[in-house]
Amino acid sequence: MYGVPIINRSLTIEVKLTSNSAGQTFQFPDNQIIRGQQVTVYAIEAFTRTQCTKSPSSLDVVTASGATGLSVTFQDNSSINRVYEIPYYTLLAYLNGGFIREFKPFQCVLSKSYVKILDGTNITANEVAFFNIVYRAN
Amino acid sequence: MNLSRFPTITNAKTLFVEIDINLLTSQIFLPYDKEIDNSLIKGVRNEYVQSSTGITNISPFSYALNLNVVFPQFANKNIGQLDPAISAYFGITLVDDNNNNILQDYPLNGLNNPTTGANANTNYIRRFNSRVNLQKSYISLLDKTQAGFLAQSDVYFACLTFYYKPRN
Repeated sequence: MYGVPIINRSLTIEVKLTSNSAGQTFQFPDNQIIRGQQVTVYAIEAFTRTQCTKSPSSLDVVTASGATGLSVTFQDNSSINRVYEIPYYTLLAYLNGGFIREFKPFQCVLSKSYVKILDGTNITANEVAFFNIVYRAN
Repeated sequence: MNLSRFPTITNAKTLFVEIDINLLTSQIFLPYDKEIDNSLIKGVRNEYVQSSTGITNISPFSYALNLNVVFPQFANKNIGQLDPAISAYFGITLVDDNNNNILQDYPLNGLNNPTTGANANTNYIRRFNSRVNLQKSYISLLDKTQAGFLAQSDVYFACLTFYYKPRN
């Protein structure tokens, strides 16, 4: 499938940016479903406040301008970086033709994955980076 | 094999979800539809809805307004406009028969067209391949700071088009 994967199952997950200091990294919160060994992740989408003003925990989602100051790293269960500090912007479907970034299916280790602030100018502390993680049971 | 951004249409049907927000309600369960409930869902899309009192204009395939729909039962109510700015307050959860979340608090705007900038004319439909239990699926108000504002308007509509393959 090219850019519009068939969504088997998915969940949203948010990373709280507790400060806007450049260079600071924020780990993903653990999630018992994604942590499971029988689940593989094959697509990831991110959002800005344009699409979703508040996260499910009622925190402000980063703005489109703030999003350009973030990068994302996802690590698999072999401690290999599946993506390393790619721009958050790359995962924004609505600014990339509606396409969701697809991955060769991998077991995502959220506790080793993180969001990094490259430029905190347009980010306010306690905003969240907001993702939808698409996965399937093996 | 269809590798496009759209599912091959076997059947399609639009559900109008009445979003009547009050200060006690933040989840609106989808209306039951026997045909959709018994089918394999291949795609779901939320259409931009623009409306005036008693009349709602709905665009099935583009941002332009191609279809007018009248809801006589709401002729005397103020129908709010569920445009992308308002949709940004909501998330949608779709649940399958095994209680797995196909989508969980997914931004409602994620099922829309991209409507900004250079991508304004780009079309896609989010694709699935699961049965959806409508009675367990719901639209939720994620931005609860807007509850008071939304409650002032009488009613909003989400316009969800389900593309599906009936079960044999």
